[in-house]
Parts: sequence; C-alpha cells; structure tokens
Amino acid sequence: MTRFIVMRLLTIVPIMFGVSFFVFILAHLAPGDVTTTLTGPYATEETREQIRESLGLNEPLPVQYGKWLSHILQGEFGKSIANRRMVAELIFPKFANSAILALTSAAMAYVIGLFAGIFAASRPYGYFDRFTIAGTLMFGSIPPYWFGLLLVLLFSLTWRWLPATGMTKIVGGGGPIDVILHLILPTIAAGAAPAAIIARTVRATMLEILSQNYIKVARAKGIRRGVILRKHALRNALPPIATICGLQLGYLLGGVLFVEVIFAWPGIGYQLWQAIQARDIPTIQGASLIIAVAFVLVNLAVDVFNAYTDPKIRISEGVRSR
Amino acid sequence: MTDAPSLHGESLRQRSAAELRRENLHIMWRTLTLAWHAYAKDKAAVGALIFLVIVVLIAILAPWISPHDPTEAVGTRGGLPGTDGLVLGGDMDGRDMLSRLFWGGRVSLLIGVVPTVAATAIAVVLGLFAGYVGGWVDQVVMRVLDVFFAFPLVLLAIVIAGILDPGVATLILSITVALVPYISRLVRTTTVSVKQEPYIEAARAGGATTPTILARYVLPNMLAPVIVYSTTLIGLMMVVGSGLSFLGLGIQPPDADWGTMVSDGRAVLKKAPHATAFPGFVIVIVSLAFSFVGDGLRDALDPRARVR
Amino acid sequence: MFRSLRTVALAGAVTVAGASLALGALDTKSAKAEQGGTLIWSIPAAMSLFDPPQSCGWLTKNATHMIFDGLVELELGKPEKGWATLRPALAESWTVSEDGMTYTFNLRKGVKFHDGTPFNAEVAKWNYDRFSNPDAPQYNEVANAYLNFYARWIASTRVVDEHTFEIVLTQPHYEWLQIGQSSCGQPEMISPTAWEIHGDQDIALHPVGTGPFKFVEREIDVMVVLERNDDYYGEPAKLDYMVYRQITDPATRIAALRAGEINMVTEPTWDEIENLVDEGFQLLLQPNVPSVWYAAFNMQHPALQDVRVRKAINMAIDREGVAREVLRGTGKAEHGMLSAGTFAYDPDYNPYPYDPEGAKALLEEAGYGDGLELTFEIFDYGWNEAWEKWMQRDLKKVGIDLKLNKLEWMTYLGKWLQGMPETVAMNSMGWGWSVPYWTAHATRCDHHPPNGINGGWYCNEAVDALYQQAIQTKDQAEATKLYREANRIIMEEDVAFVPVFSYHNPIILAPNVKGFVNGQENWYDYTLPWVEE
Repeated sequence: MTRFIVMRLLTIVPIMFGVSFFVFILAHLAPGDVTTTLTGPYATEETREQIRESLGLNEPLPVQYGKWLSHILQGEFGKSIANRRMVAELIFPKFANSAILALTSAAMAYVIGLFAGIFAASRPYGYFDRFTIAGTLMFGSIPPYWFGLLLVLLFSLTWRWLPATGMTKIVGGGGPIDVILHLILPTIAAGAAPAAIIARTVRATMLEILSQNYIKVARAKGIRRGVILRKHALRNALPPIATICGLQLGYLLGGVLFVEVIFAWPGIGYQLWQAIQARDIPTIQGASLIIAVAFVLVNLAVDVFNAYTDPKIRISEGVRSR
Repeated sequence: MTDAPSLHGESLRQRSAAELRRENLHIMWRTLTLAWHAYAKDKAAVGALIFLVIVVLIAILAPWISPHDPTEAVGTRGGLPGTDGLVLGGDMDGRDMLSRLFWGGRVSLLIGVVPTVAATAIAVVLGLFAGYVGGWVDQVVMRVLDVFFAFPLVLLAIVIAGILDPGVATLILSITVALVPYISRLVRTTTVSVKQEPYIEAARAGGATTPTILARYVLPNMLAPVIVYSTTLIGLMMVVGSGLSFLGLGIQPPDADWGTMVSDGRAVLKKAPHATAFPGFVIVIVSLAFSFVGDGLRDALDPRARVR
Repeated sequence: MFRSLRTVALAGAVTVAGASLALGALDTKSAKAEQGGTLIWSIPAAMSLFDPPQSCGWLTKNATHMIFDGLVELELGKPEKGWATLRPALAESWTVSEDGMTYTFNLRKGVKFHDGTPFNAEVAKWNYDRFSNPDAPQYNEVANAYLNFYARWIASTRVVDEHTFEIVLTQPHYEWLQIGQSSCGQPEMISPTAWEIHGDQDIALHPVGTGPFKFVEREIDVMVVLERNDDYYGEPAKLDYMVYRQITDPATRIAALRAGEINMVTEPTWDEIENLVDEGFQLLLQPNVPSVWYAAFNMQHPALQDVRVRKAINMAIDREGVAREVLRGTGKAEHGMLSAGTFAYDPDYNPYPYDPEGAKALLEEAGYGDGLELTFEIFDYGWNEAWEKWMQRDLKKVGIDLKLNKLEWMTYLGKWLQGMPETVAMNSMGWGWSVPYWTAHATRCDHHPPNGINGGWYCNEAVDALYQQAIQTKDQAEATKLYREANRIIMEEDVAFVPVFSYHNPIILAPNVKGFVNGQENWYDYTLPWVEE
C-alpha cells in the first residue's frame, strides 16, 4: 500500500508536466496576446515587435516552455506579465480562499447528499424517497447565478442576517467570525449541485447493493434494517460514493467560478478567469498547476480510501504492487 | 493429424457462432422488452419521459407554434405576464418570453444532452478499458485524464471559439472535453469493483471472451451509477453552457437558451422577476425530468432490480 | 486606523489571505463635519499597472490620477461646463511660445513625493525621458508604446532651472498638452528614488507619487486601497480612505450597494436605476462625457464599397430609440464622430434622421432590395449587447440581416487592433478624448493597423489635411470649424462610421456620500467627496 501511494505521488510529476504543457499550448493558441494590452492602442507595430522580443514571446514555443519549466523546477512560478506580482504570491492566497469555500461546501454536500441518499434508498419509491431526491435535485439544478442572487435577496437584503459579498467586511471587518458569516451563502450556493449529485449516486448505489443476494440472505436471517443498511449495504456501496465525493471536492477546489463571481469571493477560479482574460500566461500556468495538484491529491486520497475500505480492491492492488 | 476432427471442430465453431448471434439477438430483445416493462412500472419515470418528449417536440416545432418571433420586440420591456397579450410577459428587450422559451429549448437541450451523451460514451470506453485491463494501462489512461481534470474550461472554450468562431459547436466541444475525466473516473472505479466479483471469474473460467465479459457482465453492472451521474449532469451543463455564452464564447445574440435567459434577467430580479423565474423554472423541471428518466433507466437496465 | 489582516486563524490552522484587507474601527473621527469617511466603489473589471506611463484604461486612471500628478490636470469639479479644461497641477503655470512649439512650465516649489523625494525640473525631465528618450537609462519601451500619441510630438525636453521645465514640439500643436490627459498612457510623475529602489519592473507595485492620496495596498483582482495624503500641496482630500473593490457582476454590485457593503456603483443596470433612486440612492449623470459609441464600417467589405449602403445603414438606425428605450435616459443619440465633452462638438448635427423608408429605397437602388447579410463584430461589455441588438432589429426592418459576433474582450481587442478582414462589415467601440483630435486617431490614413486603430481602413487625404491644420490653429473657434468640416466629410461624403450614442456615465451613490462630482470624463476627482458616518 505504501508503495502504491508513493508510486501515485510520483505520477504527480508527469501530470504537472502534461498540464503545464497543454495549458501552455492552449494559452498560446488563444487569440490576442498579452502585448495587445501591454502596448496600448497607439503603439506602432515596430514597438509591439520590440516588446514581444524583450518579453521573450518571439522565441520558439519549445524554448519558451523550456525556460518556464526550468524555473518551475527551481520552485519559481515566475512573475505575472499583467500586474508584475509574483505568481506564487498571487495564486496561493486565492487558492486558500477557494479551499476554504470548497471544504465547507463539500462538507455540506456530503452531509446532505449522504443522508438524503441513504434515507431515500431505505424506503425506495415511496413519497419520502421522491420528495428527498426531487428536493435536493431542485436546489442542485437551479442556475447558480440565480440561486446565489436569490439567497442574497432573502438573507442579506430582506432579512439582513448575512453579508452579501466578499470574504470580510471592508470597514472594521476581519477575524474568524466575520469570515464564517461571509462563508454561509456562498457555501450553500456552491454546495447545492454537489449535494444533489451525491444524493442521487448514494441512492442508486445503495439500491443496487440492497438488491444483491447477500442482503436478501441477511434480511431473511432477520437482521434489522438499520444494521443491514449500515454494516452491509453502505460498506459495499462506498467505492462509487467515495469516487463521486472526491470528484465533487476536486470540482469545488478548482474554484467555483459562478459562485465566486456572484459573491465576489476572491478565489482561484476567478483569478484564473481574470488571468485568462488578460492572457497572462505565467499566472494561467501557475493557477492551472495548483488546481491540478489539488485534483490529483484528492483523487489519490479517494483511491487509497477505496483500497482500504473495499476488500476486493485491496487484494488486487496488493497483487499488483508485489 | 487427420482432417476429420479439425473439419468437425470448425463447423462446430461456425454453428455455435451463428447460434450465439441468434441467441444474443433474442436475449437483447428480451432484455429490451423486460426493461421497458420494468421502466413502465415506475410512474415518475414514465411521466418524466412523456414530459421530456413534449419538451423536445416543442423545441422542434418552435418555428410553427411560437406566437411571436423570439428576436422581435413585441411588448413593453420587462412587461409582466399577461401584459401586451403575452402569456408569460416580455423580457428586458420586450421580446415574448413564451416564444423565447420555445426556441431556447433547441439550444439548451442540445448543449445539455449532446456533450453529456458524447462524454459518457467516451468515458465508458476509456474507463472500462482502464479499469478492466488494469496495470500500467490503467495508470496511463487515468493519469492522462488527471491532466484533463485541471484544464481550465474557459481557456479551452476561448481557444476553440478562436479557431471555430464562437457558437454552439464551441460549447459542445469544450463541455464534452471537460466532462470526460469526471465520468471516466466513475466508470473505472465501478469497473475495478465489478471485475473482482466471483461471477466474472466464473465466466472467464467458462471460456467467455473479454468482449463478452465486458458487454454482458461488467457493463450492465457499471451502468447504474454512470446513468444516474450523467443524467444529473444534463441539467448542470445547460447552466454551464450559458455561463460560457455570457463570456461571449457561445450562443450569439439575439438567440437565446434558457441558461442565458436566466443570466440576462438576473440583474433585474426585483423589477422583472419573471424574466429569470420562467427559464430558471424550466431548467429545474427539465433537469428533474432527466434525473427521473435516469432513475427509471437504471432500474430497467438492472436485472436484479427488474426481479423485484 | 488601518489594519492589514494578512492571516486570520480560522478553525485552527487555515489561513485566510486574499480578503486580507480590513479597516479597523476608524478612531480618527474628524472634528469637521464635511470631512472623512471611506468611499468604496465597485469597479467592474481589473485595473492595469500602477505606473502611470505604463498604465492603460479608464478604471486605472481613477486610482493613478489620485496617487500621481502630471504637470497639468483636468478640472473635473465643474460638471456644468460643456467640456473639461486644464488646470495647474505640478506646474503652477505654463506658457506656449508664439510659434506654438515651445511649452514652458513654471513648477510648483516645495512639493515632495510620498516618500519624501523633492519634486523639481530634473525629476520632471527624468519622467519625460522615461517614455520619450530611448537613450535614457530609465527609458521604458512599454511606456513609450502607450504614450506614443503624446511622445511622438516631442522634439526635446530641457531643464531651464530648478523650477522651470521646457518641452519643444516637432510642430505647432495646440491640443498636445490636453492630449496627455487621456487614460491609456499617462505622463504623470513617479518618484525616481522609488524607481531606484524597486526597479523598472516592480515600481508598478510600489506607486509613489505626489497626489492627494497615498497608496496603501493592492490585492490583485480584489481591491485597491488609498489613504488621504495630509501633506498634499493643493486642497487636501476630504475622504480618509478610497477603496476600489472589484465586483464583476452587475447584479452583485447592486446587491452589495443595497446591503451597504459599498457606497458607489458605476455601470448600474439601466432598468434598476429608477428603483434605486426610489430607495433613496443618489443618481449622478454627466451629459458631456467625451466618448462616442460607434460602429466602424469596413471600407474594404464588398457590399460596403457602395456608399449608398453605408448611408442606408445610417438612416435605418433609430438612435433616439436607443437612447430612450435601451439606455433609459443614461445616454443620448449621437450623429457625428465628434464627441460631446470636446470644444468642437456640435449638438445639433444630424445628417441622418431616422428614415427606414429612405434607407430601403437606397438599398434597392444599390441592388440589395432582396436583402443583405452583414457581420458585426462586438465585444462583451456587460451591457447585454443592448444597443447592438437594437441595431440588428432596426436593420432587419430594411432587409439587412446583421449577424452579431460577440467576442470575449481580449479576443476582440486583438482582432480590433489588426483591422477588419473582408468578411467583417462592422465592428464596435466606445471611445474619445477631452479634445477633438481623438477623431484623427480613428480616421487618419497613417493610422491603419498595425500602426493605429483605424481598423475600417478609411482614408481621405483631405480629412487628414484638415486635422493637420486644426491642431496648428490656436483659436478654438477656428479649429472647431475645421473639425466640423472633417466630420462632415467623414459622415456625409465618405460615410465611414455609424455613431450611435454617447453615454452619460450614471453613478449611483449611497445617501451618505456627499460632495461627489460626476466630471466630464470617465474618471473622477476623489478629493471632493466625503462620507458621513
């Protein structure tokens, strides 16, 4: 198992390489380049050419990429072309902000999704099942820019309970309580869709397992419903559920752009979007990389979790790693 | 070696292949009828399916059944439902909401369904392959997909829009690429889990070929979570598509899809709540319907659930 | 007191940065009533660099012209005037020689940068050399590229004595000084000491000027904070702090305003303005903003080669309808390329009153009676393409199928700067300066891409000659005649553009914001307002 984890951690390197390479190519394929804004509308083509030259944008792409790579290998993300800030300074705080929102949203989605899914599956096709699933789905499929605004309209503007935008108050703000208050509405908006997806997956997987023969045997033996659900069904349903939960966390960690925009939450998704709009390649690269690392780590965690909880997978991984 | 046994063996194989085909066809037909019977038992799924058929019909027939031109101002700006003879009112450009909803369905259904189906198809192939073959193949496929996980969708869309010109094709392509890694991971996990089941080993011992095992045993058992997941995504993708349109990467004005209608109306929530509420409601209901159809399908395709 | 909140312990170990700025309780309560407070404005997009000559954009200018000063500046505190004029800033006074080529500035004495560096003629020359003298060690090519429109006229600069600075132009140009008062490339003074310390690249992160506000902090894509400079040489600002908070979404901006989290909004959704006013928010409009929103014809487009088609399109647009129905009173119809807010503007000019029938007849004559399909490239400005859609509908009525091609901003800008290919019939822009010479930028023959922004490939030597004559004319009444003649040729003989409207820059303020002035530009004088607690 340790070997499995180490091997997987090592794969992060080629993945980083792949991500940065493809993002690099894409960023160069995108129409318009950073000199469009760096030189302004009155510049002559001559000056534009000079500036491209001095920024190294005229060098062949492999050379540019190689340079960037050698810097990254020394732990340097480089400097933003658009605003001159060190990319690391720019993206790590933003990623931390996104991570906070992602973790609270994921926590909300897990709790709601698991409970709703299990309860729905315990009395399938009944009113409770339909109501629970339809309820989570409805909140999950409301377009987030509408849902977010409705939340603001109710909780911030009508009842004045919660702040509408940002991460802290501008005047006299700061501190954990202020942040938590600002977190509530974005968390609900960001967590709704993952909650719905998890609830449905949990319900489906549980139903699948509950129709297996060993569950029928257990039931025939007179084991109580709750025990069957907990001990037999849930345990076997874990791999797909864990996978979905991991995918949702990964998705949230990438920065939930719509939610970040509606709540003016200073996250990595928004930062990446702004960098893309400015064709600020070092920042695009850095932000994509950090998101990629997060994805890979979450996926790795899920695989490890699955290997530990699913005896069948454990054996096979064990065999493979020998 | 004599000729006779080998000849005999060959004809036997031929016969059994032909038989197998017949048998397969028969099983397929039986499975389908059984599945339909099972599906028909789920009233919510049937209702959802009928609803979706109606929605699709409306979208197809939009040019003939829309009361007005969806791009033409026919009423007052943001007119509430009932004003100017418009059943659902007008949007902020004075265009008929009802006609726009009818026409919007064309784009919304397209960007909801096509990328999801395409991505699911690709993901099933990739995930099955990786999960079933295992070993380094699994590692390579899944790590390559990890690379795609981190792809910024907006950047991808900008590039595609730059090459193809912004439009529905841009949306469909970018969303498909973005979806594949998500569904693939689910397929792969389930495949790995199913692969270990004793009945797979039994089938293999019984001489079943890999394609047969995949098609007959692994695929049906893996479909449940995948269908459920994919059908949930359809509604979400209608919204993601509108987000890209909003950035100037998708649907071009004055055309509209439901998501864009919601996003256009969000700035006037107080003044013209109906401009967001109707398309938003349609998205929610259609997403729900897709999910119920997905649940029905899952049950119908699952042999054990059918027995129930 | 200002408290920079770099880390906040949340749930034990998670650090919160990004939201790093939080102002502590303002314990410096002022004794005077008409003074103090924090103005928080929601800016709709990212700002550019905080290094004036390397900085571009209306938004950025809103902050940079508060931190930095130029030799002169626009008077933006007299909103009732038809156009903004120059007033002294770091130069107490200035004279222009008889031939219109030598500008002599008498610099203000005793002015210090925020870091204590004294300002004098040496510093002025150092700053001008930075964008105009390739041999100077501080020369910056990006700055030169931005300020090309200004620096190209400079022949030489000279320190006459400690407090006298002289600039000689290559030719007489009476608008030159005011041309410098635009937002893309700003000839304002930075502290050479700060430049020495931080270097040419990083100086943008450490803005040190002489202005009424001092830079406090900038969180990229989140917010910028300035505080009052109490040692300012002029009338000091009233506000304690000025905060520019980036909020991209229009609905979110309004929500934040209603929730009291910000107290100033620009680019409000037009349909919400009425409601906001009813709720007690203040609305400020400025009828003389020097910019015009227009569509440029591609003179190389096959169908548009025929002047009748271009005329017909101009006749088919109901501009009054745009102002009334789309802009809801936040703008007015424009019929010429000379924009309001400049001395040459003619408010009564209207060569093409709305005439769809006439347009149809002209199109028929040109052989397009059966219809015509044209592509109009536009960009996402957060206005839901409202006026472009209006044009599309108006043109449909005369048989022109206008295909809108909405592009993401940078994609658009890249294409716009390259000029239109034959497949594109028109593209859109909204721009202008506080002097009429801006029109020349959009129309001169030598401004065809890639050497300028004349992306519709318009060229008329006679018009260029008129511009050349106009900038050498000292008397503004005479210059006005020349500009109007140029505009007449562009609009009536050559028909190279479809000017549509000018925007009145609606600003929404919380009830407790006092003294704010919506000046005749896209940036404002933040020394004037204060916020009541």
